[in-house]
Amino acid sequence: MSRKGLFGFVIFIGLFALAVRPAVDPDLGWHLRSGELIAGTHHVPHQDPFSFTYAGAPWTAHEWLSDLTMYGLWRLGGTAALILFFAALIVLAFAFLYARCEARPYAAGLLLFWGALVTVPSWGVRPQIFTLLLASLFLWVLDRSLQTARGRWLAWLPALMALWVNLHAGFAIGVVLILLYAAAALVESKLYQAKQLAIAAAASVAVIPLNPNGFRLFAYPFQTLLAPSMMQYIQEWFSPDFHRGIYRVFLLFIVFTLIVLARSPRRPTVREGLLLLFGLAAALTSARHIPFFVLIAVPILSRRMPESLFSISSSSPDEPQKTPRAALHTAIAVLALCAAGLQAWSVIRHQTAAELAEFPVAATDFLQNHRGLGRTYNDYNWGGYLIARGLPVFVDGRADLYGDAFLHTAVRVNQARPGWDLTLEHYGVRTALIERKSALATVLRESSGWQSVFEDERSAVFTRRDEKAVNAPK
Amino acid sequence: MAVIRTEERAKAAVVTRHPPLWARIALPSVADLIFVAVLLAFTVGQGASGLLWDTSTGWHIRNGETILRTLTIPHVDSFSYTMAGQPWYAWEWLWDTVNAALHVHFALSGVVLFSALVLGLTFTLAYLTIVRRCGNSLIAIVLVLLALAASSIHMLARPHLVSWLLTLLVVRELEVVDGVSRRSFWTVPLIFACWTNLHGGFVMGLALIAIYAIAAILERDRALAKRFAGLFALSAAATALNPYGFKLHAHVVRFLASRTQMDRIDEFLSPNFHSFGARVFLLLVLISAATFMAARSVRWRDLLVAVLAISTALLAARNIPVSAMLLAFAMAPLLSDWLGNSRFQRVSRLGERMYEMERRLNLRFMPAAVVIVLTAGLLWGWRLPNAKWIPQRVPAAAADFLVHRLGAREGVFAPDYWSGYLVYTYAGEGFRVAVDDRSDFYGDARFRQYLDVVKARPDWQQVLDSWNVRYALVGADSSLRSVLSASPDWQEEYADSVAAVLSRRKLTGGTSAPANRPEGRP
Repeated sequence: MSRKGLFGFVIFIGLFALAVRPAVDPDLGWHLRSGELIAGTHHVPHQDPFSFTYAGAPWTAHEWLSDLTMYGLWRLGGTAALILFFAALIVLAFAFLYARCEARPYAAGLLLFWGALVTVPSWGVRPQIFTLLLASLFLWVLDRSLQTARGRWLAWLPALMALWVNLHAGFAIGVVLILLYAAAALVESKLYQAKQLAIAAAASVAVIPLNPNGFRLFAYPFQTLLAPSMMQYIQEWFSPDFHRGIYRVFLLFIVFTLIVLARSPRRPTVREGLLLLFGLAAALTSARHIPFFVLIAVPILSRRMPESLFSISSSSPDEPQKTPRAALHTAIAVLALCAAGLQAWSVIRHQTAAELAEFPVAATDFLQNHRGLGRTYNDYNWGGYLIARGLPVFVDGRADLYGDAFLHTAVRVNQARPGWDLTLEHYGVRTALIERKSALATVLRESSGWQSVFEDERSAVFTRRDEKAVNAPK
Repeated sequence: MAVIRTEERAKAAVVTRHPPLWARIALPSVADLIFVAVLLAFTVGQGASGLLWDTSTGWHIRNGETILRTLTIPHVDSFSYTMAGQPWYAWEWLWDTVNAALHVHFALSGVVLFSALVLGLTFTLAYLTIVRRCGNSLIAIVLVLLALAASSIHMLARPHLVSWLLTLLVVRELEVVDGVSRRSFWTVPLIFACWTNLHGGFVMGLALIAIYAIAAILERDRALAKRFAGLFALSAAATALNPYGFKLHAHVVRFLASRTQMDRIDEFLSPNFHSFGARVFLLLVLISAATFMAARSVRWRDLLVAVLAISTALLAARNIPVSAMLLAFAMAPLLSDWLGNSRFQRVSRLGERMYEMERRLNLRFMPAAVVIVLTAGLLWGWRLPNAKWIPQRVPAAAADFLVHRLGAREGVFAPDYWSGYLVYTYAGEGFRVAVDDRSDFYGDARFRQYLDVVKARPDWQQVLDSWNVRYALVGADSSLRSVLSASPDWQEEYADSVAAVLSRRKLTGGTSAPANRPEGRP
């Protein structure tokens, strides 16, 4: 293996090791249940089957294909299969990114790794990873069509869009990317190119209704982006918190991008400028959009990195290796592979511990053993887990189902704002499974109408005092 | 270089003929209009009270009054009962003193008018600085309006306003540092000597000088780099001219390095780009990024100033106003050049002609007239601006009930954002708070305890016990009110739409709920 090949290999193996993460996404539970429901009934649900607050209300299961895929994988190999599959998707997304870079392998590899690092908070076993992959693929197809000047590459885009629209609501980003390329071509007076891209955009939009929810998905991305409660209460929609170490790395990435583009003798093109501005605006508005900025910025930066700067020795352009060196390279590659395998094994082995740390496992056991406790109020982030355990929930991560007003109410209850008791009364809640240190737990502890029946390090279960006595460890 | 061409163009706009005197008096310049508009926005109608959104103005005034009365700068705390007599850095003492002097004669109206004047001067200076760099009034107007809108995120009658103004003054001075003039060697340190007694934002000024020095090194101008290094040393030394010497610097660094406080105090958090002011700042960031990418050549100085501005704003939302002005300052000449060479040349020429005209209208009559009218109004008791605490922001009736009906002077827990109002209104009656928003004074441990209480965490009761709290003045819609109401140890004495007063059953003794309750819902 050549030195350059080894470098690229190690970068991607490192990326895989980084991408292997425990399956503890708060929404994983309801995705699996939804997939199970679809597999069992051969129908995509259109009403809510999981909550008691919105039971039977219209629900747009827009990620139905992701749900089905995840359920299928889970049936095949449990959470291990899910963890490895999504890690592979992440690596694939970055492989398409790498293919768009110049200055390979050194500068491109280092930039890619830096970029990948700042997108880590959005990784996990979740449908959003399909959007990461498909956005990367879209950009690769778009760049490829421009490089080869062959419009037929663009024909792939509607086909990919038809898949994307059934996997995740991030499909809208695909349309935006094509339109940005078209706008840049228009500004640069490349009218034929602009026309081809406009046709590709129109075709991609035309296939959006090819999903079980039909035309409803046209409005869905806008409804999500314009929902105040999503932006106000759901952490991944918040702007990045640059006090956190990982986002400081992102800040450095932004600064580096600005300096390189301002000082490089190779001036950015209109297309590069438009894409970067769009990516930056999206990333600063919501942390979950940082990956788009990275997908856009890394190839642009790589085009301005002199490869000679990063070459360890300028006199060896990938010449055939002598046997001892080749053996050393092979040994390093095997070592990297073993390390990544070990990391993957360790993550899979500790999945149960990760679930224990993230979810109220023992408290849910308690609820399952005391089925007669009635309707249970639950923390927003634990809804998915409770659905996976077969319990009807008060609220869960399907924020689009519940809407602004209800989410606002749920947050007020969680913060124990005055009126919390009336809300719980209104929904007939008899039990509460909440974080032990939450404001609501403090209030329930003080309240004469409630009693604590279970507590552990993380969670607490309270029931109304008029419930039958519950004998349980405290 | 492109930038230099723009500045030359600006300088080349020679005044050939002055308009007649009547025109110079009657026709305001853009700078005049900006000053007057900002001043009026914060002195007429709701804008005046808008500067009192944050109540810490209250304790600043009372601290200034103490300084005026005793003619000494306090070194220990006198506002709280939990840390009374502990060492305190009153690092904004000069601002406090000026405001207290105004308050003595004009009450809150004088304080608000002073802040409005500082704001008016700041944005006028921002406009003059930017237009001088780019030679295009249209560009300067747009950029200043954007900076003004972005700054709405932190427009309060507090000492940080003076840091906005002084940052601009320092940048103006740094721009004229060259191999010949020695003026900046006394003006800049003088600015820092004042700044260090007004607000802790002088750190940003020092960072700017360092940026200019680094830029000179990168541009291989060693002589200029040496000058900036010398200026940095003199300015840094000048910041020691404060009542606490270099101990103040250590204190500021300790405070800024505290993760506990920086990660939890709203204004030190990263900006939320879903809010209006931050969105406008994002627009400025995008325009500046586009400008730097489109420019044919970019000076290190402008680039590093932009990088500093973006980084500091992303780290703390309170830096957005200064960052917005610095970004506008850094990008203006590049934007002007781009516009001049684009298909919008006619717009560019219009802006340049406006600038030439404006240079001739230099009597500055209108701002002086407005200031005279407002001051006369204050003197004759018009109370313009009619500044008052915002009723929805302060617990006026509840606090009155607490102090005058329950007789509380100590042992009261209240959120830190009300402490300034409580000190302002009741310190004269011997009232002392448990904590207030001088979080640098209270330190990490006490700050965490405070958060335990307001967020109703399990330890809330131990904290209140350790602080000997007998009364709680809490938000009507707060979690803490729910907790205290649910607790058998507490009873609600008073409530209205803003606040509720609760007292401890066990410790209150004879001070139980009075028979005649005032307005509000018991």
